[in-house]
Amino acid sequence: MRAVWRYYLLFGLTLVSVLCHGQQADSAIRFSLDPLHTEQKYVYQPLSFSIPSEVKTSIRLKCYQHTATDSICVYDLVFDKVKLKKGIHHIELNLEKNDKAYKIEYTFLETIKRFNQLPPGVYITTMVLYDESRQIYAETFTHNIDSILPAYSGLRQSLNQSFATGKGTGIVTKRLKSLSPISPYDKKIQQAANLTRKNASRQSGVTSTIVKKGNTVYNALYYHSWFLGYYEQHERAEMVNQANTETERLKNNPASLLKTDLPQFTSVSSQFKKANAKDKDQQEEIEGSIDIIGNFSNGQEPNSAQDNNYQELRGDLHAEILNMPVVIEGYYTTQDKNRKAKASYIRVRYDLEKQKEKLNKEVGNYKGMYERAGASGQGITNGASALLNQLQQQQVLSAHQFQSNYRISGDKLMVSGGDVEELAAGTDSATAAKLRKDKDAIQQRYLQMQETQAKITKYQKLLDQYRNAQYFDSSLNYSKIQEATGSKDYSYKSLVKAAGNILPESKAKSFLSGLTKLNIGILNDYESNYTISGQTLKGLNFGYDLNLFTVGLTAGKTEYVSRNGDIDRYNTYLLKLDFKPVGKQKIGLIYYGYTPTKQILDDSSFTKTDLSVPSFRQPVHIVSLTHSGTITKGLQMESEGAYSYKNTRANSDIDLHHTAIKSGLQYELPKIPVHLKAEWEQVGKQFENNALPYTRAGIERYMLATDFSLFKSFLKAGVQFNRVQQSTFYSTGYNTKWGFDLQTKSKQYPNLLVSYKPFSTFRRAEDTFAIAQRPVFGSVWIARATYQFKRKPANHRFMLSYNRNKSTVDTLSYQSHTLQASYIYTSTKLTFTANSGWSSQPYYMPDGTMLTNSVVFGGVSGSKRITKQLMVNLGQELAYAGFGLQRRATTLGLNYRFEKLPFTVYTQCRYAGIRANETTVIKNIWFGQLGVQCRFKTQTPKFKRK
Amino acid sequence: MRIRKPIIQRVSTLLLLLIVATSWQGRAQGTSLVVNLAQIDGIELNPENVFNYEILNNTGSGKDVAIQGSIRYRNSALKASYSLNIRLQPGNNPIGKERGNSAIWSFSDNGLKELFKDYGKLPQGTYEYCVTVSLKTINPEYDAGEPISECTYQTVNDIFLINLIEPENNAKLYELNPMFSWVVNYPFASQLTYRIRIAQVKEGQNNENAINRNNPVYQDNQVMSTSMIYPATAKPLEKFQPYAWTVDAYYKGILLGGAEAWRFTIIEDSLLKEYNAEQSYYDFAGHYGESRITAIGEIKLKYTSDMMYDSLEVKIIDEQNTPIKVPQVTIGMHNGENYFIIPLYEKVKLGHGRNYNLQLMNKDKKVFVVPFKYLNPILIDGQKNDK
Repeated sequence: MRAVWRYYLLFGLTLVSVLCHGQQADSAIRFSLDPLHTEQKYVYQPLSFSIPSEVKTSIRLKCYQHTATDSICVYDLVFDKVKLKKGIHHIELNLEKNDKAYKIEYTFLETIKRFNQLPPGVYITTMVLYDESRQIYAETFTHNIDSILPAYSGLRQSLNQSFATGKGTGIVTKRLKSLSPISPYDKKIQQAANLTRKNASRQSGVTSTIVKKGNTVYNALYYHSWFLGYYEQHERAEMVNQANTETERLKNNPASLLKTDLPQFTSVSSQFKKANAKDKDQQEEIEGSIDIIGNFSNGQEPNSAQDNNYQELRGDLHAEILNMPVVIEGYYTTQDKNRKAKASYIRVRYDLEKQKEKLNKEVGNYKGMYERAGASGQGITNGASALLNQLQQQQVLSAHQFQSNYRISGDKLMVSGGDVEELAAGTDSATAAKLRKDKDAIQQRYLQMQETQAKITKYQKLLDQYRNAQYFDSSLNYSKIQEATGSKDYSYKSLVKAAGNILPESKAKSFLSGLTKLNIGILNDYESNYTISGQTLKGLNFGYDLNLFTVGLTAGKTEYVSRNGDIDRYNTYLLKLDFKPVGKQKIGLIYYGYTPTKQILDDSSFTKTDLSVPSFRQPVHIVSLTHSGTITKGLQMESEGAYSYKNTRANSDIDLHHTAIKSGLQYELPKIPVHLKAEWEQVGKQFENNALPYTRAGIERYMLATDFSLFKSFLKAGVQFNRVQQSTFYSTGYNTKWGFDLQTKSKQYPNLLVSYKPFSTFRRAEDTFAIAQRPVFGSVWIARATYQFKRKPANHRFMLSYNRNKSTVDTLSYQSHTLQASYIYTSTKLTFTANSGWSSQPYYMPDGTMLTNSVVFGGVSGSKRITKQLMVNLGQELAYAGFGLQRRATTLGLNYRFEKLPFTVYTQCRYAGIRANETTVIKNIWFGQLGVQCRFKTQTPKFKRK
Repeated sequence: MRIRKPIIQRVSTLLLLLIVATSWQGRAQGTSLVVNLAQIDGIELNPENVFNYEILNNTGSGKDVAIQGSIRYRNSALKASYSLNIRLQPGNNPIGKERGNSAIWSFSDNGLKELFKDYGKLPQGTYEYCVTVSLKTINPEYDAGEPISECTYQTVNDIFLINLIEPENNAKLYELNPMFSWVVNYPFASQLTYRIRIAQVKEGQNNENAINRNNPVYQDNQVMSTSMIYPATAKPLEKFQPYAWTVDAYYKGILLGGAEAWRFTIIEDSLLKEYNAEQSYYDFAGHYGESRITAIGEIKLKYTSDMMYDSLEVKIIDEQNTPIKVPQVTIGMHNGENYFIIPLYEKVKLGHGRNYNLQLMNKDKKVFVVPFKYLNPILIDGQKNDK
């Protein structure tokens, strides 16, 4: 009885040991070896590890491929002086850059390189870490590669491609057919199998044989003597479907191809890398669009400064040049001929967004695979644990039976190797006789227990490998990716860094991974309020992420366009450093400088004296500090402080006159729907940046605003206060503006908006005494009501609005009003719009008398989709002033989208009669517009070297 | 060779020094009068500071000089100049406002004269201010030498206190003929005329580039008031096309400055949010989460009963726990799966978009709570209907 308890205790301890294995696996040293993979013409051995201290070691890797019939050593290599860093890390050992090769099967490596797959079989790799012949650590890893040609295999993709595109699927020769062992009646499958053979034979070194297993026909594929796997055969139509599905899954849903079964499981990162390996034949897509618009007219409406006839061309092209996604975009208008400041531009920019999108997709695919593995993980672990328990129990019971029969422990049986004489040596004569009598049964029991023990060892090893792989997947990849994508404005580089272990080496360590910006051409970039703030710059803009900070460089010629349309060109240069010192804070340090170009100094209206005071020619330097960040929950802050100076200034002390400061705060109150906003800006009188599109020198500005929702967001109210103070050299003026808004938001009732904005101007008392002042005060009223409802089959939308402006200077009061209404009917095929309005506006006669001009205007228009491709619109407008008809206009438009071509053609024609005022006669103007829009997507052309 | 080389070097060095000394002497003669404009360098000119410069007389004796001052604008016909005759003492001669009072001014434009003399303001733009000094001689045969000139450059670009009021920057408007309002603060505000410009904003352009680089769809140089309604005779504004607008101020035809550029877009009242009208049956008994379902006019429910005869008692309460009157209070259920619909539209008085709780009690007195959001079907667009 006592012995029985011993076995139950042993069983119990084994059970605890199995169940608690996960905890044991958390010990300080942990290694995980994944199957080989290929990248950039090399074959790598991935190795993940967790060690308590850094070690410099030699690593010997010896790998055997076991097939049903054979066992081959595929490589036996030594890597010297490998530095394993403390903590959790991942390294990749290049098999071809070893320090000693005892054995290497080059055809085997060639197979991996060519087809991105391992030949099927069981791979047992022994890893020994040693230092001067002293063994530090040793572990064996087992990987089971399935005999079905995997989806990520280059050969499978190539065969699939042949079916999907129909290439190389011509008539099959009789010689190939005759090789087929399948029954002649299943001709369709045979034909498909023969096509596969034909396509496979196109790949040098690849041979195939058609085999039938059960009811399924396969093509067994070989590369020289290496078996690559089975490619299942169906009818051709089914093969096409299967090929397309596999390509789609590989591209968009690699998680569905994940192998989670214990024998075949390798780490998610290893499976992802194989699935994500770029097919060398894969071509990048080129996307683009071109718009050509021609405008034709015999005249322009009053006060329109557009040319009568002008053409516009706009285009963009998204392509990959030298593995860098770029966008080339341009715009040209013939109106530029008649003005100095041109609107046309052309620029080339690095498409970071596309790069980020691609990376996000890859990372998303990995996450999908990881989560899928995680979801099935518990089931697999439980299943394996249950199997282990069963085997352990079986072993314990077998040992117990042996013990009860012969009073010899099962351990002794295993140690004896089933040798009866050895077992009998220490027993009494009766037992010895019994042992000798049951010799065959004892040997059978020994073999059975040995087999069970082998199974226990195997499954225990697989379970350990599974847990280790999951541990490294989680700590090396998934958690890092989650952390990197946790912040809203994570950088491309931070994500590349986090996903470094799953991305190809070439991508993770490439120069491009740190590139944040590269724009060349005519640019409109924004760096800060007081430096480069959206003005047109001909030059380049470059940004690079150096982990600790991001550096930016901009250089070129900045154009300042005056209000008269004249251009001043400045040589500008900017250096920017962006830091993220803590949490959600972002700090930028900018140096910006500019000098006038020769174009300004060589102006013919200037004297061009050589001895002129040089300050105008001297570079203006601006140093700016920017900050944006979250102060507390809901409180956002954004600030900039800039200081401008010239080397010629006698007094170089920092003073407020040369300083510009802008600061803004936004606060969302917790729990209550109240939003506060405050802004303050102070620009010194002598703050100088002549290249800015709009100079604010000598200004102080305050803005305070709040808005809040009431009655479950039914009513929204807002109050805003603005004050601008300008201190020029001899006077100070103030403009004050308030804004009060009330707005309802309902889907059931009409929505109302009422806005009242009183404003006033004021000048300082001493200025008023110096020069006669005329303060202005007035207000703007806006009231708007909108309502919409749906009655099958259409939506009905109504709008009514009233605007009033009143301003008073001394006793002179000026008022203008407008009342406008519109109705829109929208159904699937028809849109009808009617609008009408009235406006009343005073105007001054040359003698100074003020008259009022009242106009009533209205129009109806409709657009109808005639067919899927064709849309027509028609409209009529009329306007009446006090003196009679002021405007009539008829508009007709057509829009046609070609079904099989990427073109849309549209035209718009308008015939109008306009009488600008009482003293003029009606002027007839016709206008026509013809536009062609083209959106295309194609693959990068491949240029073959001859 | 060893001896000759240093001699040649010494001779050439001596010659070089001689040349430098000669040229320096020439320069010293040429700079007997020096104009120093450093005090007003980088500062906008006005009647108070225009004479804040110095003339250095290195001739060693008092000299009568004629000073010519000129303010010239780039790319413009605007010009102001003065002439001033003074006697320079040996050494430094600060000119200053008092000595400048006797200057005789001339202006290219009367507006410019008023601006500068009365209001102390120069128009917007880059100008050059040059001061030329020439010696006056009684004897015409005496060579007075070349006049000495010194110039400084300045850009006037300070904000002229115009603030745009309506439409606000980035406003979304519903009116096809919007009203534009602005306010100006300046001593002679009533004497100003305004130029309003409205231009299309092309893709990738900011407001300033749009207004400066695109030909305006509407431009009026003669606006006398601080408000304007987009005229019916003007080129029609297009919906969903962003426009930039700005106002410049002129004093008697001279540009003084302008406001920043703001953007507006004419839009339509957007259609109400679409909901999927295809609601599935909700198995409330098997659901333990806190999820709130959407009920468009009705609630579709699934209930599995293991009793031979079962029923559900229906109650609806709002968020304040106030019961809402429901016409059919008890619904009979049979053994197994039951699919049923509780009609709400026009049967139960519920608020569109409001949250409610549906309480269902079975024969065993077990209560199930189904939180739901009610949507009135006539106020929404069902995706199903539109297809």
